[in-house]
Amino acid sequence: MDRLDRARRRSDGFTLIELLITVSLLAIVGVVIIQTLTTVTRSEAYQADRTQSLDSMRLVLNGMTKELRQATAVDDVNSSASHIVFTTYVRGTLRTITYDASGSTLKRRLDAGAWITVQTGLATTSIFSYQSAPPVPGAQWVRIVLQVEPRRDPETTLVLDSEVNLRNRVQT
Amino acid sequence: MTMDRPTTSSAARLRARGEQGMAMVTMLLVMFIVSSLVVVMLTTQNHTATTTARNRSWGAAVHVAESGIHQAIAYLQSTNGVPPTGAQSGTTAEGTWQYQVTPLPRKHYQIDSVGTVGTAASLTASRRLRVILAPPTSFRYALFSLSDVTTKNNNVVCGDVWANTNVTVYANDAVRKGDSADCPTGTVGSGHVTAANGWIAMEQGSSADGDLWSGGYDSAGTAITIGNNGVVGGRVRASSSTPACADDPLHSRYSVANNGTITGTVTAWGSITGSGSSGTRAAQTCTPAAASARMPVFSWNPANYPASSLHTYSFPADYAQFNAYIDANRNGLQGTFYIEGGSAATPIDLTGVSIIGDTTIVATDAPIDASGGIGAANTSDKVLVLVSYYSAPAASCTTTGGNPGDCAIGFKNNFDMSSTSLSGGSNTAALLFAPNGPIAFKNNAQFNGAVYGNNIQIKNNMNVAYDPRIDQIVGFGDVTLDIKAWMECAPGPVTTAAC
Repeated sequence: MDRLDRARRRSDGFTLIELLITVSLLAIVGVVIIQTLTTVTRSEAYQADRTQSLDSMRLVLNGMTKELRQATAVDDVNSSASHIVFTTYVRGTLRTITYDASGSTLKRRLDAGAWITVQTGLATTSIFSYQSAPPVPGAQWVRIVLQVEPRRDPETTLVLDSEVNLRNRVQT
Repeated sequence: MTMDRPTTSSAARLRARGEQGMAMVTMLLVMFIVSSLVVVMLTTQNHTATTTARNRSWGAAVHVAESGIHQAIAYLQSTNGVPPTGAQSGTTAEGTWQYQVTPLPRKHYQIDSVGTVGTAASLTASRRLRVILAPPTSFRYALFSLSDVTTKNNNVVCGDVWANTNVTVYANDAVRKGDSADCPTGTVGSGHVTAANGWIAMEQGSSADGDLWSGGYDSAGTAITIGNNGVVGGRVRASSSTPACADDPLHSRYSVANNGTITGTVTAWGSITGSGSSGTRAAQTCTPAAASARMPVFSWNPANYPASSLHTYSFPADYAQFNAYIDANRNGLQGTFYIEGGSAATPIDLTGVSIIGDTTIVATDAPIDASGGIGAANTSDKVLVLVSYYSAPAASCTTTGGNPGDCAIGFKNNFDMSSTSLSGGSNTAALLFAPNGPIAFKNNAQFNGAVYGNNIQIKNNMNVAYDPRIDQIVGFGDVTLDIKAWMECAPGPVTTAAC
């Protein structure tokens, strides 16, 4: 008799209540899973973009620091917060290097050569500031502040800075 | 009797209904999500850590290389310029360095240093620095006088002129900037004229490409005079060396009299008069004068010169011997000559001497003279340095313009080493240094270099152009060696010749 009851109970369908609860739970779990997967994917993409931006900024900042450290003089007349012209050693030879920030792009030029884009996504074109060492006129230190907005997350601003002492600066 | 299995819990009911797989699927999904998150985080952190470490190694490598540079400098100073043989190496807490010193001509040294930081292959950074050491910079002006500078009759100075007292630029004479068409290629200077505590007289038709800056005034109270058709390319300042110009409260002195053309602004504590034209004028405006400048310090050290070409004499005992050597080498003089003692009776007579290489003559008491010219016998790059501590009043040198015994250094007739470029022609740079007495030139002195004297008088057809080869001469300056150039080269062994 008990065996018959159990067999009959196994063959019964779900009640409507059970089905509704199950579907609701599955829907909730599904939404959570999809949202989590979306977040993970977005987070991965954001991190990759952020890392790429930081890597690019480091390269640019290190390059500028290296070039400015060897500089003999900054062209004070033609330099500003978004534009710098300086004479420096490149592989042991004195050359003129120019950086120009315009819009969201930072470009570099060697002597009178072609402009080459070295950084995109600038949050501001105000990059360079100058400090003199009296009584010698002109810039002795140059501070570089690079601010970049990653492409996938423009609400975030990455900031790297460097203060460079011109090692070959001489009084003219 | 029948035994029922307990069916009280829901789990048991689910298992009983064969739905136990849902838990596993859910757990797998959760584990997948968590694992993904962990992988993303670990990847990011790993990249960040690696990048930061590599960046740190790259930044530290240059400092480690600098440790090698400083080690090399300390070694050179301790040995008075004798470099170590081969490459030297050492360590710091950050990494290892290796340096090599290569002696260059004229007491210059090239130091190459490589700094290496990090051991793991991906985190190792190596940077190579090259530093050029040289005697400190001491000479910036074409003409420098502790008192007056006076030119007369057809002279052109390319570079800057400094006098602690007065400057007279004679009619039609010129002080040019380095890139002027009147100057040899490679000349450095702005064409400035400074009279720190004195007045400046630009006579009619004279010109200066740069600024005029005075700190005193003449007997009429005039600080700067520009004659008819005089031209000044820069600005003009008549300043006072007294703070706040308190020495002349009525503005009766420090005036500018301009009958020529001034391109820049004119600023004077006194009045601004004359029929000439100028930029903005600001009379009765106080500006501080330039401070008086000192003569660079010279220290004799025989170790600074090649022993093989070093000659030492004591005057008057060795006077005949010295003259015999000059006679024997008059057509090809080079080397270092140190002459102790002497007087106006034993002048160093360089008449007719031609130099063939770097030549330094240092006289502690004797004057240096020439009548009939000094020249160069070849076109090789060379420097002539003449130092005389002979003391004489400026007045004794004024009228004769360089006769023996009158001046500390006096050249008459054809002191000629110039050309259209500094490296052309005789390719010679000359430094004349007399801190205690006047230096005078008369008749056709044409050379590249600089003149530093207690007083300077120039007469008849002189062209002098500042040559930067003489800005760093061994023996001059407060320190033995200075860093002339600091550069980073492409990574490579310390023995790499190219930068």
